[in-house]
Amino acid sequence: MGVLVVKNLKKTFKKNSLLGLKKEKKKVLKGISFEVFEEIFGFIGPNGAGKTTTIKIIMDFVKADSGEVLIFGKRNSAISVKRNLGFLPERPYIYGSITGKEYLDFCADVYGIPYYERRKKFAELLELVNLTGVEEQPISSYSKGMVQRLLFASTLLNDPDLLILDEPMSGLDPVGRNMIASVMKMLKEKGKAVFYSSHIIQDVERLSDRVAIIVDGEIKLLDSVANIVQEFLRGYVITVRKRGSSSLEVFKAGVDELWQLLERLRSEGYEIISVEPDRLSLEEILVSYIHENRRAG
Amino acid sequence: MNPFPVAKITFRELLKEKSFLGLLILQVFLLFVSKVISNVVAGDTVKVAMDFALSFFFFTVALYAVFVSVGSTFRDLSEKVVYLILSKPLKRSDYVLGKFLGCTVAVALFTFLSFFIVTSGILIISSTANLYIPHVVVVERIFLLSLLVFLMGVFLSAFGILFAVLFTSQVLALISAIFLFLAGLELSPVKELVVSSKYVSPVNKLIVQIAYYLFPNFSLFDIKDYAVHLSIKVSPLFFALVFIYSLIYTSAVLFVATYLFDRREL
Amino acid sequence: MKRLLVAFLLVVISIPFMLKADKIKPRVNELAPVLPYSYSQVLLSSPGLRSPAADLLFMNLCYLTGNDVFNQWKERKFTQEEWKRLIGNVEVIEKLDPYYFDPLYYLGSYVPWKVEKNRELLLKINSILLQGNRKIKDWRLPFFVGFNYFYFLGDKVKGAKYLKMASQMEGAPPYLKLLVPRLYAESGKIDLAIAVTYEELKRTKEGPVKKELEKRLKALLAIKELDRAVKVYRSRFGKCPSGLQELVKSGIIRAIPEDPYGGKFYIEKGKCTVWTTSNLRPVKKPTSSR
Repeated sequence: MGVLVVKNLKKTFKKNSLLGLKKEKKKVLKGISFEVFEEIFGFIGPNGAGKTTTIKIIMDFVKADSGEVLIFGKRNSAISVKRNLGFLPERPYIYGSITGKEYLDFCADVYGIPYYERRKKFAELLELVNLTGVEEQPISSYSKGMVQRLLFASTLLNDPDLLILDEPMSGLDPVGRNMIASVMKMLKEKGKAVFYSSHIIQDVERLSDRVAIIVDGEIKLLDSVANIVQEFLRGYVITVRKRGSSSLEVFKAGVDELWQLLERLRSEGYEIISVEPDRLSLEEILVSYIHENRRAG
Repeated sequence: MNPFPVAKITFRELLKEKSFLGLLILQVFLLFVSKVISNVVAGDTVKVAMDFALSFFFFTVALYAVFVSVGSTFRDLSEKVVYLILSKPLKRSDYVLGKFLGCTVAVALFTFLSFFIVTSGILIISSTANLYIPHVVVVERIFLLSLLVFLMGVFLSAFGILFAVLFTSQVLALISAIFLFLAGLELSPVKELVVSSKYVSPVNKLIVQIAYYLFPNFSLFDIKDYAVHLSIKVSPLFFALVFIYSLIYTSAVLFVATYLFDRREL
Repeated sequence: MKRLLVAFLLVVISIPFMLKADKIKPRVNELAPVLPYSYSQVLLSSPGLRSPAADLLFMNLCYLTGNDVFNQWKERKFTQEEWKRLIGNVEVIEKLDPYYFDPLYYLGSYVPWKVEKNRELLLKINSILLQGNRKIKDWRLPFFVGFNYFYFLGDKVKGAKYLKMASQMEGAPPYLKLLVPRLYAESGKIDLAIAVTYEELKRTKEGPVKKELEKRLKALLAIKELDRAVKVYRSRFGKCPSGLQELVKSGIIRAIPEDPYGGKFYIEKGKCTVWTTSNLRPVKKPTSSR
């Protein structure tokens, strides 16, 4: 069984109109199921697809109408589950008047980390996210990126086995995004699980082991990145140059024809400049699902 | 059951807020106002100054308790700080109780500092007033008033948290708390007036009576007269009763607040 | 759901504590004291706020007096010393806002009845009313002054003087002019009482108070009629009638009118004036036992 198991979640939000006569119902989740193992699992979809709602239900901020969530094999409503869990919400906010260290102290209080361990642990985490030296300053003096990095560091304080992140890259510059990506990879190497949502598809593509695409409350696709790439591969584009010539030529090959073409080109005396897969990017796949949904709905 | 981390961080946040210092400075200003008003009366100016100064003290602490409890709880909820807090191994009731404890400590500090300011001010006023018969100021009585004012502030904080959890608009929560407070102050004399009047229908009398029983009675905490007039006596039983009453009722409010918060979708 | 029940139970449990505490709560036993305000101090502390200060002082006055009049849950009577302070406060209000009529109306219509035995205070009231009269041209101010002189202070001459002043002012009821010569007659008091009641009736809306006034007017008019009948009897027979039946027997009046308060009219021996056993207050009928 996976570290995180989501079974058939359904959720409808009721919006009472002013007079209470018409109750608008919006079906946000129509039956979501997936499992996360010791891997990096990406969760992508357009705005309003239900990503954040799914995460809120996983974290027990909101109760689903039906379905269940199991974390480490236990119901997600159990408090003990959160001991080994790390969570970062979208656009996180914390009081500006307290200092970074005071917030870390709060987290440490909750996790029961003894005082003599805290100094070292805080120093390690702050260094990891490049925030050494600012912990005594009030959070109001931090930039948005700094707040994000501090709060990300705090999620690692209890050495979680499962990390749940809602749009962890938003608001960060490329350096910050890189830092988060490398931390995620490091966690995976340690045997932890990372579940995150994002709409920066390129990051998801290169970082995740598996992805789920959610559109309009339903999971349209759930597979490993490798498989998806394979499935949506149309062929290859080979750029070559004949020995002795300066101009480049381009050849196209079908999926099964690659090796034959390469042999042929070699025998004809070409230099291979590049071999690129001709495939739909994850983004294009996602967009096509969205359009399909719109046409159907 | 672990409300202490939330209590600690709430207290730290509240201490650094501008309203803490601001309202304390306001108290100093209001002491001057009391002195000026007391000059208007020919006679016992110290009594008048004390009346005003203690009334300002009473209402300022009440205001602080309401603003602080509603404000910080509401901010947590609307700015999603609760997500960070509840993603940790904490029960929802731990959050509510922690907020309450944090507010309690902040109110205690605020009340103590205000007591210090008001008492110093009153002592200065009474020593500089030229009265034929000096009006003796008994600091112990003002201290007892401060204890009750502190209890009142704690009681109000509980309501503040309840309303912040219940309502989706901060203004509504604030106004409800303030009106609850004002109504709770006036209910005792209004009930006496209504019940003994010939002109009120029995149905209205019953309604007022029920409201008097169930509504929080804030007038119990108002022993300003006792602090000003030395001829008034009070038995220790009174303080014990008020303490027990506020303890029981505050627990009731917290029960309701945790119940509502458990059910709330974030 | 269970928690809500527990919460409600807790509130119910807390009620007896609250009730007991409310009972033994330290309270000021006297009602709000009458504070004497100092004109100079008020002026100095609120230079731009003379009128609002006057308003606030009057509100304070009304509140204190309301405590006295309502008698609903506390019986309160002011001492003469407190009345002295209240009167002094009206003087302060007059100085702060010379065009403010209501405090003077209060002073003239209500206060004299409370201090009727205190000559010094009555004279003070009159001086304040006259002070107000300098700026406020209202017939009621000299009217009250004249009433005080005549009714309470027993000075008919001064009373007539001021009533005459009142009668010549705009808005004064026409019967005042008739009243002035009457004042030199012995029965002037009843007439004055009738005049005042009449005026009050005009200003009162429908309701229990108006009925009371009408009742009083009826009784006063009855007394006046009987007084006149007694005078006729005396001029005819040269002596005071032994009882009111004498007036009926001698045909001066047809029947003895009924006292709307439930008492009986009679002739006071010695003064030979008519009065009633009810003293113009409702007579309590003995309740029948079951």
